[in-house]
Amino acid sequence: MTMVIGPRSARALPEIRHTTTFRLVTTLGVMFVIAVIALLGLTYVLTAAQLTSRSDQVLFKDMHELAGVPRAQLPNAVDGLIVTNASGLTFYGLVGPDGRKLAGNIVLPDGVHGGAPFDLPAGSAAAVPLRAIITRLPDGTRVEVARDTSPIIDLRHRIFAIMATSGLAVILIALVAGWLLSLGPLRRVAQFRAVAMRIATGELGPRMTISRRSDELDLIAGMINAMLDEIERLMEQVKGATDAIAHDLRTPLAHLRHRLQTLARRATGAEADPDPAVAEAIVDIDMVLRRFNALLRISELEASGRQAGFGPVDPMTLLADIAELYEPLAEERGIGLSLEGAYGHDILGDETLLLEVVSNLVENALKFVNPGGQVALSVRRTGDAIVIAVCDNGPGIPEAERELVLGRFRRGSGAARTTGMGLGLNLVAAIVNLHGFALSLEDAEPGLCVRIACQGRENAR
Amino acid sequence: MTHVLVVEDDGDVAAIILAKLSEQGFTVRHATTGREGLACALAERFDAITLDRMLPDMDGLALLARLRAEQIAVPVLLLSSMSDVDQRIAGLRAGGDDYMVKPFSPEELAMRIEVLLRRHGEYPDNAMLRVGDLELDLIKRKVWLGREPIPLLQKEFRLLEFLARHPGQTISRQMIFEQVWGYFFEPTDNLINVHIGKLRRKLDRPGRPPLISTIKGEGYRLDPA
Repeated sequence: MTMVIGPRSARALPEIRHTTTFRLVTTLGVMFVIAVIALLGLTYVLTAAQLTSRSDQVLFKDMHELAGVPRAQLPNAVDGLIVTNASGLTFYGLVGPDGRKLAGNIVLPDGVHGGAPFDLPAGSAAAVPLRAIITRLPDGTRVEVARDTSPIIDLRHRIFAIMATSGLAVILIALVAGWLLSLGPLRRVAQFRAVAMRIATGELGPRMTISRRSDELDLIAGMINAMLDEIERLMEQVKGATDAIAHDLRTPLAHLRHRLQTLARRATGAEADPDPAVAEAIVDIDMVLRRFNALLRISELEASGRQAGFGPVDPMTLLADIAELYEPLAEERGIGLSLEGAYGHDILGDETLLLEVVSNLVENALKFVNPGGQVALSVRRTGDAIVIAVCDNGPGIPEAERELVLGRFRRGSGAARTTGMGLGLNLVAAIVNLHGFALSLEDAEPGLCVRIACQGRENAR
Repeated sequence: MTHVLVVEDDGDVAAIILAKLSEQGFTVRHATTGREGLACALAERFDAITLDRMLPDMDGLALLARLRAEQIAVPVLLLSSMSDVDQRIAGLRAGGDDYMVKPFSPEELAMRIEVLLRRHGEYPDNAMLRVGDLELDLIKRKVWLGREPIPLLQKEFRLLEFLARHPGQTISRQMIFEQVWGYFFEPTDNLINVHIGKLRRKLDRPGRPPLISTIKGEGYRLDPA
């Protein structure tokens, strides 16, 4: 149940992924990528169409030229065109109705009709892919013009590769930019979280830092700070009221006690025992006064935060003193009180306050354990910490109630049959807090184990 | 006649103190400010002073320091609403002889003043302490009742010694806790009762009146009988 709180040092990628900035930047990046793909895609389609149309124009021009040539001179014209075609990319063919080549350097597969250009894959008529047009003369002779499209296809592939690469680069840039842009706000969020953690542990002093940028984080930080101020003010008010009540009631109660005592004396004479009823009333008033004193003491401790009385303390000596103090009480109740551990551990603390802590814990244990039970005091080194434990085999405290019993006036449900102030554990918590030690209530199966993990002096601040 | 100076600005508290101390048969002088208190303390000889820690014109500790600087060794009981241990230590360091947290019962105040008076009186500090049949060797830390030696543990001896130094005087549980154990937090009544009970079992003999009486609501008293 002990909460361990510490700043998370590493900013892992999964964490960044959840930041608003990162989401915004990546969303923008994705949209940018879509736009780039659309733009490049359109460019690609248009360029491809343009290139095709250019080769179609060449095809039409050559076909047009051949169409104007009388039938008898066509073979010569075809050969002439082949010679004059410097690029070598255009092929010409004159194929008779029987499928025999009459002239030219190509024969396209038959079966294609009409005057529109069409594509032929590589290997069907030539080794290269072709764009071709065929004109069928009235006598069945076919005039064929084809153009090698491999440079165009090549170009298309290259454009596609360029576009894919640049698209990927854009996506990558967007991710990196998102990550970098997220770092700043994330650092501030981490600061906020560290402050919030401290506040969650009950320290109401710290505030969120506000930068001079007045951005939305500053706005939120400002609002949180204002809320904290208000909470602190209210808490002060409530605490102040409680303390004032306790303080103001103490004096009249002391007067009342005095009057009762005078009354008792007057009735019975100075030497005799006072009237039992009056004596009971005085005992009751004493209990109320003790409660008020405890309340005020807790307030003092919570408010002071001072460590003026701190010095080296050997926890074992402390436990031994308490064991000696409570031994007769334990014996009277038929409860075993044991002490375990070694001398020589060294913690930094206020001895008087720590004595009060252990005394409270032992007092509580003796109150709840049945005759025949055991209360064990121990000091143990666990890792860096020196752990003072007060364990018993009494009824214990149900897990759900353990946190509650530390609060002011709270008492576990099992406490109904015993008298108690209900402030003991709260006082313990206040003192342990003042020392910066960790307090935990654990199940001793059966019973309760209260542990105080103290920093050894060598590890102390 | 025991002469006590009460330096206290709170009228109600002062009235209670004055009434109680007069009832004890003391002559009392009341000062409401630090200056007045200091003037009184310098002008007259007192057997004890009760000094409020917070006075309207000066800190009680400052007044105390002035007194000690003037070589006035009168026992001083500091009264304060500050229950903090640090405050108590500061008070005792400044030369206070005892420290009481307000509110207090007038009986406890009277008891503490008695203790202070006796402490400053001439009781034997390194010899035998005798109360009726009870004999304490303060050096060898041994106890006899009549001629019978009574084996006591260290704390039991200190408890008996404290009671025996103030025979016939009621001592509160808080005082016992502070003086015998040196602890300043409030013990439960039961805790001190049990220690007293243990001591009683060792001291009481059938047919004899108990040595230590319980004064209900106040504390314990070792009767010299």
